[in-house]
Amino acid sequence: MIALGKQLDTMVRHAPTSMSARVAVIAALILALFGLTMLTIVGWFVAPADAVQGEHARILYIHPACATMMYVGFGVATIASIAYLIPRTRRDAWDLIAVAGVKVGLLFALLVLATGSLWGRATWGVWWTWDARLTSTAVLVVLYLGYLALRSSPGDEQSRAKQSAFLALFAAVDIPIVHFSVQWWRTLHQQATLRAGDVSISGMQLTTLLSSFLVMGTVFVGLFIQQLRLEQRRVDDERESRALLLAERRLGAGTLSESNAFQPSRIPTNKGVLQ
Amino acid sequence: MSEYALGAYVVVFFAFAAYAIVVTSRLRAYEGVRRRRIIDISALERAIEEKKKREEGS
Repeated sequence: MIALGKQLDTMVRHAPTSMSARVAVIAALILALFGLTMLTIVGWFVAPADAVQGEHARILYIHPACATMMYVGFGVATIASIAYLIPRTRRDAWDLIAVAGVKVGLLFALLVLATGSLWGRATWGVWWTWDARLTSTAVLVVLYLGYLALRSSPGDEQSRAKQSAFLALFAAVDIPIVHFSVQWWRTLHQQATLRAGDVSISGMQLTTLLSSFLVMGTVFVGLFIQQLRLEQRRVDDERESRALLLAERRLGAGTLSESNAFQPSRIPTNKGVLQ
Repeated sequence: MSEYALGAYVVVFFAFAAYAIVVTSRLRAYEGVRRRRIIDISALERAIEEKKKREEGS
């Protein structure tokens, strides 16, 4: 874990300018665009309509995959937060990975609520109901919105990162509640379509559903890497701004001398120092 | 055709596109700020040199 943290730290620090990160994002987004196009064509024109839910069941090819990516995003944030909270494995990279995971996970969570609401209106006749699955998902969204609010608060960088990591762990308690809510309580929301030894669909519907996980996974990877690059760039920008401001103040106050003169080469950047 | 299913696909596609555009634009904006800052730092370096020379001269 310590070695992985070191390696990740180097990778994340260089992510904004790294050619490999840029190529990975472009490749993932091109693949995602192709995958989404194919998913739409197959989901609408090749896979048959459902015997019970009819054409509405086509939402099935995006809704569960979005929910899975929501779990992945928040899961990544949870693991990164644990790694950040343990002193031996603490690295800035874990904090940035946690933020990127929450932001992309939140995008998928909002899409889960939106597509689920459309499905609910089509099949149950209501946009929203206080069902255990829906309510626990809404609570999850609120918790992670709180996480983002905490992150944007002013204060010391490290203490804010620690507080955010604690909040991420607290929010993660709701993840298994969301997942198992359909088993623990009697809910309007249906049970999982894909369960070990009990798959309730087959043929082209099953193939399209399984493909949707791969497509959404590609979308997730592309957006996650791009978000991570942005987070690293934001941190670099904050540090550079502080260093520059400090130097300008020293110059303005006339306190420059040989010993405390501002040295631009000391400004920290993603490449170590600013040349 | 189900208008609800169609709506769901439209929402998902637009959300992905909007997210990717916003993140990429912000990344580029930071890169623009960084380029301007390098120019600022060069000006600051010159100012420091001039100040040092004045101090040495007086």
